[in-house]
Amino acid sequence: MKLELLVHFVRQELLDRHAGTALGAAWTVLLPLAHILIFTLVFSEVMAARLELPGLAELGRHGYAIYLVSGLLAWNAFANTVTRAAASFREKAHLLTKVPLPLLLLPLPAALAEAVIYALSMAFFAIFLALVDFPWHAAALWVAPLFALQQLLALALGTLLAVFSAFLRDLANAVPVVLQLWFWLTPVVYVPAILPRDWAWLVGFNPMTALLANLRGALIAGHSPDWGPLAWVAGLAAALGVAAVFLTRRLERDIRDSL
Amino acid sequence: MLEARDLTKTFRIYRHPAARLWEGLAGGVRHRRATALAGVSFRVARGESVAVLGGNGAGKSTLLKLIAGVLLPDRGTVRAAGRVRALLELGAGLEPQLSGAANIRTLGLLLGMSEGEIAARREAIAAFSGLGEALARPVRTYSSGMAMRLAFAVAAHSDPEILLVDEAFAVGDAPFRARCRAWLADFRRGGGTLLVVSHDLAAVAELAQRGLVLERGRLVADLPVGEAVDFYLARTAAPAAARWEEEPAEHPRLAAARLAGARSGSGEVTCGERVLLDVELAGGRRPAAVVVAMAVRDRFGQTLYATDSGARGLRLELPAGGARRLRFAFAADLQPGRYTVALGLAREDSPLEWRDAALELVVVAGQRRFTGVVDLAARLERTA
Repeated sequence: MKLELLVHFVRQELLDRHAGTALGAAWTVLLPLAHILIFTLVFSEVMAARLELPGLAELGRHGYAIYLVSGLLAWNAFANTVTRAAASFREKAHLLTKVPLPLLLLPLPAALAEAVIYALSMAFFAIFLALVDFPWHAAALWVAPLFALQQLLALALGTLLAVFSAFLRDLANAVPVVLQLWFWLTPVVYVPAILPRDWAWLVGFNPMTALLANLRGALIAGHSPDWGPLAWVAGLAAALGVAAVFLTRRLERDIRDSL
Repeated sequence: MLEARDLTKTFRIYRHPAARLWEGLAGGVRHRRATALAGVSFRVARGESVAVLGGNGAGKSTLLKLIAGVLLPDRGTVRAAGRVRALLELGAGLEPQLSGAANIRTLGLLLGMSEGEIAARREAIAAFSGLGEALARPVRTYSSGMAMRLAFAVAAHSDPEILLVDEAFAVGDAPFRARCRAWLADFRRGGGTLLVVSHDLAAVAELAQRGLVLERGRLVADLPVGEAVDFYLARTAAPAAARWEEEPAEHPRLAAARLAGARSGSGEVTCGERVLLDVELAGGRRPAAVVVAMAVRDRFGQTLYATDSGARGLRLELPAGGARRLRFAFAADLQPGRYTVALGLAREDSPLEWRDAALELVVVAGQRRFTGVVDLAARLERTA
């Protein structure tokens, strides 16, 4: 029963957001694709020449596009999950005050819906890769568990922010701004090598740096995961997750009162 | 079976929304408390229907929300043996941008139905709602009555064992209300438990067997429904005379009103006695032509009689800042009991003021004997 409700919420995230538009559910995929196309067009011209990454040179003139899109798809899923999950208590307030729903169910659909969008986008990406004779590696299968870890991190962070934003509306505005900053502190459009030395530590500390490096390593260069940095990411996700569940339980009465 | 034991709920009022967060994280006291419910205990047996009565802010809706589980109590417990389904507030849980048909599915899932159950009952729900073609339209285009019909239709088909309803019966057309009544009768016969909150005392008296009266969060009476309604009304009795705000206002207003029996001189009159209703009006900034209306209602809020100065052919010109007095005189040809008098004031084009239950009229038994509500003073004679 709860499962069917969860599936319904995921569907709603994906489809109903665009209810009443002429293209309908197609927007769910069109928007991220357009976003990626713009980034690729702009940055392929600006950045491509400066890129020196192992394995990338052999990919020829599409090397940068592949580097960029593989990072951008994952980042978009991460950022959207955090934003949507953080807003979930407030957005579902009209239901929470009328229908008994477990609070912790609410941030989940965002993470799952973004996973669906990621899977669809990756399918398009795979078609593109096939067209440019991309050399596939078996290690590319690591992308799925790495992405799952990323979504767990996003879900934990988003849930924590949802608890806070039940009391502080301002957070709804602040989250996208912080994510924008975070985006530029993550090697999504650039390679870590171009960073000035003073900034490198900050970017290295960033869990998304480790996630994207491993994800690209697996997909593009066929590397196995580098467990050291990933253990840090997993530990962080677990700590945030425990904090989110603990705070939601502890503050549930106040959260419900304040919505 | 539904049991509430020592239910207590206070809402904390914070000067700043963030103070709530700091308090939750760091401890300490950064709020004032407003008590919504204080130590409420009661039991509702299987198959029983209970109404919750009380004025605004008495804690009725909070009680239903605690039982439904959308709010958590500070203290006390709720035990519900059976599936609880709640219709809290108008249009509960509907998604405005989706069509009525899509909302059947959404609300069904929210109320705990499976996809299969919803598909199987879709026709029955559509028929019960009586919305017909309108089901294809988005719910945002619905009137509040239509939205409630849809929500109630879904809830009625979600196999409730314990149904909580907040103000849902005040809406809907006559055929829909008839369907609701028939369904509720079936529901009770099948062992369903109903807890209902409504300001429509006539509907409550018809639906429920028992009434709980809440007053500022406390349970002050638990009686058979008729007695509970009387108890509630006795506690909320309106005066026989009233005066409203003193300072001059922008618009014409009702300044005072008084009601008295021609013989008794008080708000308590004998059945059949002449009642004098004096109304005092105060003018606004500009002179205006106004209409004064009055209505006599029974304890269920049913209007027994209403009239206004326009209908009586009286043209009322109210000078700026001036005052006017007028008197309605009518016979209290009513069954002994408590009645309320509502007063209204309107300019020719727009209503200005409406005071529900402005005054109370108490009719006590006199010489005349009849049953029913109104004394039509039937004369009886032998004609053959």
